[in-house]
Amino acid sequence: MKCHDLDSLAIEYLDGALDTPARAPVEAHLAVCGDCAARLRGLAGVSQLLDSWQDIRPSASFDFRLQQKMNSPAASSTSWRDRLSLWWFFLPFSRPALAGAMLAVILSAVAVIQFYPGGIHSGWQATIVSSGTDSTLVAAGLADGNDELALYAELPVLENWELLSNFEVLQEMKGTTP
Amino acid sequence: MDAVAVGSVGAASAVKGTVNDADLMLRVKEGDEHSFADLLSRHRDPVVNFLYRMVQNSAVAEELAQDVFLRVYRARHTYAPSAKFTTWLYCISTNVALNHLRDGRRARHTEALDDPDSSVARVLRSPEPTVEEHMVADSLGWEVRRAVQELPDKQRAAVLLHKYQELDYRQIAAALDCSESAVKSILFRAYEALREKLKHLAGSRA
Repeated sequence: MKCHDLDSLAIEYLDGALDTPARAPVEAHLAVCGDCAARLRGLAGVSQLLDSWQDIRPSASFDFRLQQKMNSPAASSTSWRDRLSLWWFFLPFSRPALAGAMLAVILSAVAVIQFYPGGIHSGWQATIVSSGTDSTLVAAGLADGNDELALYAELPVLENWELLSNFEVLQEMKGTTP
Repeated sequence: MDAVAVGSVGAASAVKGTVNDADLMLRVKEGDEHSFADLLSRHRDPVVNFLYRMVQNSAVAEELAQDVFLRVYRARHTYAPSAKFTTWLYCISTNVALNHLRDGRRARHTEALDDPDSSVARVLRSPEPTVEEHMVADSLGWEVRRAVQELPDKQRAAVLLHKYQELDYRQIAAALDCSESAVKSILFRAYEALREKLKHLAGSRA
């Protein structure tokens, strides 16, 4: 046993909570390591010092004040946070296990969104397809994997925009606008 | 709602000591208020003292202890004897104490405790000389108290649950919401820190 191995066993050793097979190497190490033996004596000394901290007695009105609070209407109502934390304690499985399960569900949901065949957006586009003819062309093109730029070039509104932007009469009219 | 007489000594008190905490709590769940009085008489002092050592103010500790027993009472319908009653009780007590300490730190960001006009100081100050003020005269007690106070909240709770409440590692783990091995590690670091802070007192009580 090395000195740092004692760290994880020191408190259990002092509590007498180690069984014989675990206690034997600790005692063997303490017999040859003066530093560790002194350290454990120091820890035992801390426990003795803590004994000097005397208990206090609750005030005589403690039960009466509690009784008043329990008889108030507020005593029967519990906030949702309190109910959740108290219910949480009695779950049949450990809290880390539940947290892990919730994380797994969230990760699965993210994975489905990211890696769903065709992407989740294609579903949204399918909805658009049914709502108008122009949109139908665009959506169908995108769904087929065609070049987006080629699709934009075929759009009537873009053609009109190109025509209008190069229409010299309009350019001149812009210049005369006050 | 029927009035609850927590201070009354009921028939259940006659068998106090023979009925375990979980059975008493199940009776409370069935509506037996005297069993709650018995539970209170068993655990009032230990819970108050645990909270007193956590917050180091007797008046605040009593208020927090009342909050703990109120929560126990309110949760009587959801109680299930799947764990020891004391584990559940100190889980609630530890949460109440840690929340109070966290909220207190938040308040101190905006308001200094030593400001005599601060609302935080007004809330915390008891009109009577407190037990802790009497302890100032006791140098040994004061130094021990200060050393414990300087521990991080979780280490402090672990040491108090281990040393004074005599909870086992599994119970402390439940109260602190961590593993048993983490508890052993927290306890070792806490006792090591105390040993370092109190080494000048070594042998004074040996």
